[in-house]
Amino acid sequence: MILNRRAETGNQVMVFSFLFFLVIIAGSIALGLGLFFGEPYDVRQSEAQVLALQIKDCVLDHEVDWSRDDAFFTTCRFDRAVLEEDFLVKVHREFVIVGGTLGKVEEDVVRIGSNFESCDFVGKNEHFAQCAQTSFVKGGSGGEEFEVLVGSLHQARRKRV
Amino acid sequence: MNRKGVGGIMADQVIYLLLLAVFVALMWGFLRQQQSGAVVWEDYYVKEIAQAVNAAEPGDVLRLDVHTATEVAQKNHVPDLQQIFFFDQETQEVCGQFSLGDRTCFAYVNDVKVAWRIDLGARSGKNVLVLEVGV
Repeated sequence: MILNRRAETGNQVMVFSFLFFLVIIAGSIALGLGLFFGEPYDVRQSEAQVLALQIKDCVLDHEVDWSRDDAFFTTCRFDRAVLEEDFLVKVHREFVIVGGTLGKVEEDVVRIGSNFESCDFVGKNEHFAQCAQTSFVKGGSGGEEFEVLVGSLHQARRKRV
Repeated sequence: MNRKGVGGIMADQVIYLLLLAVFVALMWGFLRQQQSGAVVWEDYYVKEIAQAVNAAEPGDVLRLDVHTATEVAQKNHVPDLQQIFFFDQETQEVCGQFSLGDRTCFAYVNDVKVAWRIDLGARSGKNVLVLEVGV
């Protein structure tokens, strides 16, 4: 069987330019809609502030057993999976051991996520986490000092029904 | 006249037309959803509801005005207004669907279970979303 393949390669290569034009058109429409409707409703800052205060209230009101891995989540009633997926959370604790050996203990009792440096860029790049910070003392003067840093990267998701 | 290879060229054109048809269908669906404003309202409502759930304690009953959401859903021919909100207890998400198509979901941090219903015309003719927060 003899096949006529003259000029077929050129014809086939045209599919790339066709797809390129489709991508350009789709991108233009999406960009136009984005400009028309504006940015998504952003609750990251308020969410981070509320969560930081909830952590503070929980630590002050409850005795959290920091030696247990899940104690923070169960005692404060936070969903671990959601926090790990969309948030940065750091709870830093400092306290002084009084007794035989006097010493200061510093530790991160909760650390979810790693890119806490992105909190320093608040106001410079809106795509970084929106953060909130609070510090407090539990047990009066000489008690445990806590610093809570919360960052939110939380976005809504579109799902197929 | 040499007509060898014409079948191959026709097949190419059919592939182009199919690709174009798929593209137009996808863009049409996407534009229809955007045009109604449903996606923007879904985004707004699910985030506000998630904030309310985050601040709630087990035993609380929350009543939220969702009248605009029901109006948008009605305009977009959603058949059952009770279905415009959905709480996924597995993933801890509240979802909104104000048009036929995809839904928008947003997770809440508070580890609680939420039972929900929409009371139509419950408060001065406004539609209200009632949330019962439990453990």
